[in-house]
Amino acid sequence: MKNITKKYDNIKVLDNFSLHVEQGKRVVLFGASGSGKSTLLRVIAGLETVDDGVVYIDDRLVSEKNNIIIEADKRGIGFVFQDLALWPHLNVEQNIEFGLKIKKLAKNERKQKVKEILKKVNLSGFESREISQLSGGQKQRVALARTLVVNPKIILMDEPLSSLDNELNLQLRQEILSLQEEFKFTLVYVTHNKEEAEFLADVILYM
Amino acid sequence: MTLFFDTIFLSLSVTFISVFFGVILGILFEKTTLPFKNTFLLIFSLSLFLPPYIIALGFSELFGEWLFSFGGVVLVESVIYLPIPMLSTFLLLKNINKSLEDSARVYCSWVCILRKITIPLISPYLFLISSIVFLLSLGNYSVVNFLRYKTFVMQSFVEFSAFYEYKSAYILSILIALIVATLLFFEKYYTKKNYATIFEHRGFKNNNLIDLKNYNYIVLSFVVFLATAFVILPIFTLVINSVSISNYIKAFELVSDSIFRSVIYACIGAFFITFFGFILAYFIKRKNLYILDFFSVLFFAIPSTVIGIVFIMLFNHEWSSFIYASPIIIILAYILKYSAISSRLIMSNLAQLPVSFDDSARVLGASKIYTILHITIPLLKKSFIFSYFLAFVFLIRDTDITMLLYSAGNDTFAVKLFTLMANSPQEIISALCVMMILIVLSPLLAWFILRKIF
Repeated sequence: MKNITKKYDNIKVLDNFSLHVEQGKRVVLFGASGSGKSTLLRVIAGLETVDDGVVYIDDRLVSEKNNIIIEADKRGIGFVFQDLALWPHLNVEQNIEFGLKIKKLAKNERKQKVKEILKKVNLSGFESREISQLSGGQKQRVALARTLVVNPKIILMDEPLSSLDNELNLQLRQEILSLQEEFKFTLVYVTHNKEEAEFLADVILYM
Repeated sequence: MTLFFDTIFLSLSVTFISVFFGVILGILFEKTTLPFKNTFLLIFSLSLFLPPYIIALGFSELFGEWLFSFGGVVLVESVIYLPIPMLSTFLLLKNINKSLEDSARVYCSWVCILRKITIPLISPYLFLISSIVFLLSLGNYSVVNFLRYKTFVMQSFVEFSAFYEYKSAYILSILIALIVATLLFFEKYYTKKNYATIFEHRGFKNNNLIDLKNYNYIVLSFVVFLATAFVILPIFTLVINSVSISNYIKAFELVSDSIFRSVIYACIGAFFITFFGFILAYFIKRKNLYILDFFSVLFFAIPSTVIGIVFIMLFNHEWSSFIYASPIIIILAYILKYSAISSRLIMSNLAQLPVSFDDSARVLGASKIYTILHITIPLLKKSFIFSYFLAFVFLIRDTDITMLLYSAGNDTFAVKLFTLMANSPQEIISALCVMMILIVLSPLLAWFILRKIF
């Protein structure tokens, strides 16, 4: 992305910001609240327009000034939100297979992929559980599984571990690291936890 | 001009009385140890769901000629609108951030907290609610018509129907539009700004109640007296008058067609109101199109007579006779008038759904329509069902719009009952009123059962 400017109510949250991330790298955006980290992720995902500048993904122009050229649903990006955004009316399996349904995969194939990804995140047998029945760490894993199952090249994570205790935080950041090394996706990770940033990052960007 | 100011004075009196008693009852039902408070809450809420003239009829049996005066109109309208401030106060107090009150409890008593903390905190919202009561009273047609009391709304209707003159309706609409615009501006820039601080729970949630101690029975007697005088007695009078199976059989024979039509119109109307209510709520909340909120609230606040007049002028032409001479005109007017109820209800629930629910579906490849159909709508299922039942109740009880717009053979139960009142035996009318009460209560009962399933 080049020269990105983004304003909310005339306050600049991103001012002439540029960033280049190489494929397969782990970039951590580190900074205080209000520094524009989450906005940056939303711009990359195509959930926000920019007031100035351009965004490229794989050399394709995806956003330019006040215009989203490629919509969020066509960018092939994964996003783990801070509140995880697990849909409470769907169970674990239905949450995870949502993206696969959009891709029109056959039912058997979907079931198989859900089973495999649940195994990867250590939640085998949780398919029929309701979201409300899960602990904080389990919810975190489901959100991760939902994102990974569609095999995105880029995954954006917006403070996904901020609500967890230290022990679980440490355990899950290790799992994220392992999964990134296995799936080789590009990771853009937002946090205000310095230890977390240093643990996960190839590159830390202070904002 | 005198009539205009008389009407304003009437509406102000109604607003003052209903808000005064409504707020007191709301506080008693939410914040105190008063016994049977949930039962009383239901009893007082009843008058909101009944056609207003039924309460008027019940009172006329009790008070006779006196009711057909300024005092009578104020009494009837105050009872009809009392549930609005009462339920609002109840809900505001239920949702208030309790730590705001707790932090004052170390300094003073509950009375002092209510006076200095709680009431001042909710007073801007109470002001908004009072304004809604004022607007509804200003636009009321069926009560003043039944009690033969002349108001500005009555005059606008008479001038239009007798002389095709719509100047009064025009003045009234401009006035109401200005009030609605001011209220929405106030709501958007003042009350919403402070909403999170006052109503979002953080940390410990308590439910400390004010112990009435020795005053328990005195307060209980006061509430029993109000419930009896305002709701139980007028309805009980109707039930006593109608108590004979033959009365009910005769009454049913008179109105069976109208009941069937009422239910059909209400079913269709409630569906479209919920549908458009959702579309409005979605565009207002998710796309920030607040102008839609202004227009939907404006149409709700504008007197039904004005909407009726506009619809007659719009559709009383040869090209639109298929609308004018059919129930379509009634359904269209229902949608215009009542969509705000549904949109406001759905909007409040939509506001509680994190935007990230939509966003996460979008980044997983779902289109906007797919996201609405598979994420947003299923999550709002409960509000849709409640909105449908609420709209159904409002349409079943509607008299004002239907009375102006129905064509021959297309009347509803509420209109038929209103017209029969002039020349039918009292016991038949009472039986019809009891039937109306049961019809209105049945969808509410259905909602009460269904909400547990969904």
